[in-house]
Order: sequence, then structure tokens, then C-alpha cells
Amino acid sequence: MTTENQDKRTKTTISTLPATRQRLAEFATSDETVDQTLNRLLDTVQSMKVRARTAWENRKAAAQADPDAWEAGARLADMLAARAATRQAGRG
Amino acid sequence: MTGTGYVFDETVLHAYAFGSLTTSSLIAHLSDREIRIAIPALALACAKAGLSEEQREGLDGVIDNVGNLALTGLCTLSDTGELADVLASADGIGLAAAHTIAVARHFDWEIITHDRARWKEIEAALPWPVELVELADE
Repeated sequence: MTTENQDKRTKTTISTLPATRQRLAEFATSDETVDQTLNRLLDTVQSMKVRARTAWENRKAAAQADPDAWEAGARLADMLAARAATRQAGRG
Repeated sequence: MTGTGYVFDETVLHAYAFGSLTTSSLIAHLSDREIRIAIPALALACAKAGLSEEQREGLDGVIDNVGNLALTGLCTLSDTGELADVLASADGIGLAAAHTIAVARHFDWEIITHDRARWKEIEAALPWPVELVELADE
């Protein structure tokens, strides 16, 4: 989901270890620029994060749609919060 | 964040992985109450060993996206020492249980489990008590 605007490219200097450059080179395909490789890797990581967030939000929504489960979870959390507070107070 | 929290054992991670809506709700509500939850890395790894890729991703997703959940790893020499102490204290204790106990003792937090019976032999084998809170997975 990355768009590249060649006209807005600027040069920058990034200090890296030779091993880092070697790792990056191993991910690159022969027909892409460093900018394209970096963006492809960033897209992959971002996609993983979005999918993980979506999975959690879907699960939470499913729990909210089930009143029994939602209330049961709330009751347990209340009990655990009270228990934790008592434990904390006991420590002084 | 409160100064205290809880440690999830493998049974709770399994319940989430297998779609328990009560466990999902519990996690959401614990987050709302800013109660910290530690996920021992070895308990997570052992739980994942029996899961599908989708279930594994589901666990990763909740840990990545719920701020009060934190993966607790074995990152320092001290961490390995604390785990070794637990392993040496009970013959035959599994890695998941040992790391869960080590994390609980490190933070002085209780362990949340859905199945206390799984802990009976371990409790009997250890020279000190294991602090457990059993929650029914309704």
C-alpha cells in the first residue's frame, strides 16, 4: 500500500553496520531500489500489525456481542482488581 | 498502572487461543482497569506448540495490541538464574510451569489459571507455595 513519488526523493545518510547492509541486500530483488526494498519490508511489518490489531478487535467485538461472556469477564476483572488492591495494601 | 498484577498460565493462553469469549472479555476489562498481566515466554511458546498458525497469530495479536499485557522473556543472566532455581526445586516440572512460577516470584504476583488441578503435583513438589487464582472459563 505504498505509493512512491520519485520527484520527492531526497538523499540522506544513514549509518549502518556492514552486516545490516548485507541483510538488507539479501531481501532486495534485482529490479528494485533501496527505497522500494525498505518500503516493501515496512509494508510487511505494517500488514502484520494491522492484521494482529484486527484479530484482537474482532475478538473483543465478539465478546461484547455476547452479554453473558462480557459480563462474566467484567465480574472476574472486578474480583481480580479488588484482590490486587488488597494485596498491594497488605504490602504497605 | 497499578503496582501489582497477575501472570497468565498456559491454560488461560489456551482458552484465548481456542476462542473463549469470557477470556477475551476478561482481558479487555483488565486492560480498562490498568491491571498488568505478564505472559511468560516459555508458557506462550509451549501453548503455541499445540496451536494452528491462526491461533498463534491470535495470541500474538492480543499481546501486541493490549497495552497491559506484556511478554516476559528470558533476557538476562538473572532471568536464567531465577528460572534455573525453579527448575532445580521440583523434579520433572515442565518449562512452561517453571517459567510461569519464576515470573510470578520475580514480580510477586499471583498466577491466573483455568485449571488448578494441573498445578497440584507441582505445588506438592515445590518447597514453597505457589500463589494461584483459579478462574472458571465460563
